[in-house]
Amino acid sequence: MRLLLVEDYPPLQKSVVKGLREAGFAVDVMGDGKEALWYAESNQYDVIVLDLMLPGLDGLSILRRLRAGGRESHVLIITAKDAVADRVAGLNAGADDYLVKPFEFEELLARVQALVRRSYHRKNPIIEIGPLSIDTAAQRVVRADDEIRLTAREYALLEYLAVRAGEVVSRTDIWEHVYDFRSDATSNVVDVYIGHLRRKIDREGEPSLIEAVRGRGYILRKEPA
Amino acid sequence: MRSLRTRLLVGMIGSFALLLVAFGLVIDALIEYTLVREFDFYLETVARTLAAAAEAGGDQMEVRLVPEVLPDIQQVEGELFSQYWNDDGTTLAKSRNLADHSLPRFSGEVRHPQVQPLVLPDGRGARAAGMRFPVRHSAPSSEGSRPSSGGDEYLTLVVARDTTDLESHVRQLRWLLLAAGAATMTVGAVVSVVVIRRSLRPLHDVAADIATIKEDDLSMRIPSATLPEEIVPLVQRLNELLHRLDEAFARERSLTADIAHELRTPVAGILSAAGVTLSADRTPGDYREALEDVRKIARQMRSMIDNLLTLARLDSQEGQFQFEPIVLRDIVDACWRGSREEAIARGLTFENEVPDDLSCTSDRHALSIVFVNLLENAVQYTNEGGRIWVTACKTDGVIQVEVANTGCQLAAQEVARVFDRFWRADPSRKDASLHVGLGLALVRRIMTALGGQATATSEDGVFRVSLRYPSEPVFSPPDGMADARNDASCG
Repeated sequence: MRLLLVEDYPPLQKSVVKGLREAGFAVDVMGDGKEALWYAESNQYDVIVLDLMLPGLDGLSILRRLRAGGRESHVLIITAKDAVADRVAGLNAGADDYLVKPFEFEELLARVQALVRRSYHRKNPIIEIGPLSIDTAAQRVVRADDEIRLTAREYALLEYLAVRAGEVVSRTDIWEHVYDFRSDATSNVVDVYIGHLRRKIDREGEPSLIEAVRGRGYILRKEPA
Repeated sequence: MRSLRTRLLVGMIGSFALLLVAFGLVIDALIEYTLVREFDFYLETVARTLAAAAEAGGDQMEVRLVPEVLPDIQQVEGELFSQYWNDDGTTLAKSRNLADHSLPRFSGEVRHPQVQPLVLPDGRGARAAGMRFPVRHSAPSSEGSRPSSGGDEYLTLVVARDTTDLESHVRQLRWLLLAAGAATMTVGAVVSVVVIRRSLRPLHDVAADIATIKEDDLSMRIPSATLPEEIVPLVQRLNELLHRLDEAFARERSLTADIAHELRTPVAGILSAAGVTLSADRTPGDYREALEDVRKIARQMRSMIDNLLTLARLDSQEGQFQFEPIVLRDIVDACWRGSREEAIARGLTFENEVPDDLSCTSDRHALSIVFVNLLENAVQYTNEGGRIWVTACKTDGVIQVEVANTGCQLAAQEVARVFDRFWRADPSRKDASLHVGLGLALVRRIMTALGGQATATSEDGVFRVSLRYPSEPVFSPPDGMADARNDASCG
């Protein structure tokens, strides 16, 4: 899942980014309001975590411009402003959730994950696809009672394919949404990780769960073919 | 007598009573004087009548009362006594009711009989009129011979009349007067009480209004339109005081809110760093890094709390300066150490241009806070690769220091506000970093406490804070300070 964190207090920025990356998110970080708006407008983020008081351009203005421009990314506001009027103003500007500083990281993560589920119109944090059971909250993957150990990148790739299960996902989408593939210079990084993932989740003698669609991308079948 | 009502009441009723008593005494004296005069007038009339009617003949005498004068005498109340003497002092005649007693002998002229009080033999009080008058001789029985009137023979007559009736009249009138006085007094007192209570009612109303003011809502004002004009100034002053208090509390509230906001972000930083670090097993290096981060945040918070406490102490006049000789260049160097690392990281140049020999007598701790805050602020706002410099000079016992940095984008009207608490160059930057907002407010506060001042300018991209303070401790600004307000820059 691709996420934009807009926060200008460096120590907070640093730990939140670390935590979100460890949770499998592809995170972009911005400390300046104007740059953040530019990033948010030129990328497809699943979730934007937005501080309100920023240099350059304040969070509410960023949010209003994004909504006016038709951007549908889910937005979680994090701010020290805790008055009811502030919360109402934030939600009315188009935010999906509001979290007051200081917060526990666990709660931020849970709320971000909830917003991700909403992005893909799901309620259940556990995705069941054929023999696979993916617990998106605990980030555990089980195939027929056997837990499959995945790296953060592999998990992120699987989760992204799973939330879009049944549809063909282009390499570009994968490249955009999955854990900092963009930082990897190799052109076939997506194919390489699809290979890693297949080796871990497929069983010998059974057809691969992930199918390649020539010229279009990959698809995770809801039901085995 | 702390009650206004009691004071007014005692004053009014007291003076009323005094006036009434004085008035009563005058009336009483007038009544008594009038009655006694009337009494005496009758007495004199009787005496003259009796004298006119007296005729002497040898050692005999006769009083022939003409019927016309009888009513004058008979109208007189009280018992009458009379006694006649010859000039040689022998009693010629006296009224029967005197029996064996005598009246005292004294005399005035016929025109002005002498009147004096006396005590009758039976103890009753009386007044008597005495006069010496020429007497006619009773002619021998023959009508023809003319009496030698106007002869040399004189008699003395004293007429006394008891004053029992007079005294009882006076007493009656006196009682009447007393009763009237008491009634007037009572009515006056009741009226006074009512009038005073009515007049003081607005005070009670104002007190009731004041009682409804809550300590957490000072926006209420006491209406003064309908109040008596004596109370209006009081109420207006009170309203002005309420206004000032309201503003002060509002400032205090917004300050508290600002402090809460300022503390929330670093606490979020600590919680997040700890939470993320504890969410998985880490290498010792990771733990070390997280702890370093937490310590860095905690240090920033400590610095902010120190600044707040220093401000609070200065505001409550608790701050006690300890004056000692200070070499200015050294203290600037010492204060720079804390910012050096970050300045190097940002490629900033620092120039301490303070002369080696420039010293002053001041509080080392206070000056350190001033320079640390100014230099930290400069490091934060100077453009990458920019320059920070400090100059100083001493003229006429006043130290002038300038801390300047490049890369300033403040407009002129913003410069005036840099010393406000929690003010930031960029309004949306409130959450950003901790040092700004309090540092410059503290600088100005300390300078004021030292009897100096701090001003800021922004010109051609250079932000400059000028400090001016006495080189020796003073407790009121020296005369030169006000005159030399416009910065004369150090050469």
